[in-house]
Amino acid sequence: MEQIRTNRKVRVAGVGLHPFGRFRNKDISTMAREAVVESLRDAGIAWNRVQVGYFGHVYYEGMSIGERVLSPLGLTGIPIVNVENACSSGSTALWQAFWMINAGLYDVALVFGAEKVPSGPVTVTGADSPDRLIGGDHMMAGYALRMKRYITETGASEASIAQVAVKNRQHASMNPYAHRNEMYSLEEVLKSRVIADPLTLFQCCPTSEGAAAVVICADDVIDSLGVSRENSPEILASVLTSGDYNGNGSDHSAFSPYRTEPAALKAYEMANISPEDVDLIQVHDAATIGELQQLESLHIFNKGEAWIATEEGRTSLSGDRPTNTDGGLLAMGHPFGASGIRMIHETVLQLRKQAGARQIENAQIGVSQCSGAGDVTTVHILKA
Amino acid sequence: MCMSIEKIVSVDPTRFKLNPDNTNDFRLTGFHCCACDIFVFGAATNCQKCTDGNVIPVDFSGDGVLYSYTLIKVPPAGWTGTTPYVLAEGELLEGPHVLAELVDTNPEELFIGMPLKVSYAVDESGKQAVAVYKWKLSD
Repeated sequence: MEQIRTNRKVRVAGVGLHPFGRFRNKDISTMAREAVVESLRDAGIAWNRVQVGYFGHVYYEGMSIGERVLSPLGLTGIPIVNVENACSSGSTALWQAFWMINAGLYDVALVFGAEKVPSGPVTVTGADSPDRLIGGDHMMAGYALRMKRYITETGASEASIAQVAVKNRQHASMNPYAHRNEMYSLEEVLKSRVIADPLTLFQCCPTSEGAAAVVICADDVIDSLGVSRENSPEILASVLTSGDYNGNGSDHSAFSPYRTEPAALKAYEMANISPEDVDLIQVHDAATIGELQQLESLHIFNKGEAWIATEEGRTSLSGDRPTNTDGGLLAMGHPFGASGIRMIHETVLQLRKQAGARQIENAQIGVSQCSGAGDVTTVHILKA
Repeated sequence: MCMSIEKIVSVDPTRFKLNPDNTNDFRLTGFHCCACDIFVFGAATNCQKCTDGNVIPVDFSGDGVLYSYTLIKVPPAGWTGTTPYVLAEGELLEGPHVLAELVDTNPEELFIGMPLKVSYAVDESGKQAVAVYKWKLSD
């Protein structure tokens, strides 16, 4: 079904975030609920005004986990939907909520996501999959395969790609919610232990625990909710795509990571903006190479040139294309169900001018792009 | 191999078949779409490109070139082979890409575009001996 724009505007009224990291003595429900309560408080919307809830998560924590997260807040009988779409689970939950409001079924939705990702290399298939014996199911190995192609086809050096990790750690040093906010030099990044050559440990996102939540609502009910329109950025576009046929079945080419480009072009069309209009970018930097490829697929930079822009500092907080301003997956960490919503959280803070030391000047339009296994891509565009 | 061939199963019969009467007779397998003339590696009920259901099973040549590769030093859960190991993405002559371990090689000497051929090894780590397809450099 083609995604179309209707005339009903949707806004992000509130955001909440539980810190990302390791919280051995805290269960997923408690983390998620804290993010939810913060988002409701931030919006100034009472829980019993929420009409539908979407919960993004991946790892099995028992059935109907979203319902268990919310039940201590009071049983209101609203539909609560549990959403699994790999690393894009949180942003997929937002996509579903956005279109439900846009279509007129609901006025107020809660989108929340949480995860406790196990330590060690991330695999996509089940434990009895033949791919475990074949040795090909290794998320960072997939990024390493792409990195080899990118280096070969663009002339980028390993050091130029590793700069992404240095930059995102710098951003995270100003973010107390980040899993890793200590800074590293380029040499330290390159000399950290090899995971899948040429990717080193500090070029791979940590597997993390954490939670995020946003409350979204229709613009036409915002006054009756008593919510500040000024503090509620509009969602100009919400696009979700899954894998399309790409000729040779490779996800590891230099220029087509996770098919982001079709989703991005559709989102720009829906928002009626061009890539040049974007002030602020969050992309799926599960590995350093991922940030470069996603920026090119979003048409922020020409193909094969994002590594040059990174070397020139254009993607840092003071650059003209600030990217992953909260530290991204590389420093925030990656609790799958929460990551896509965490990107929206950061975008909203920036557009409200509430990002503190990380604040970008005059940010008006922000893009958030999140990828997931199954060649899933989500792209959201927000406007102050 | 100390086990009789009859007791060895394919790691995935939709992708790889081994002749029980001849250990030198093995093939990567997939499908060919008669409508748009593309090949698919592994299981398919319909064409990946045009969705046409008129697809026929094929055995691939087993020849390809090295599309990309990585030396994995931290293996995923379930990996029973040695570590580190080279994971290679080979492009079959017919088009599809296949991920598999590249064996009997020096990772320092690899480069994209090297000719490859399909091989296999028997994994005996579990209750059942399993033939797992591998890449090797062409002679």
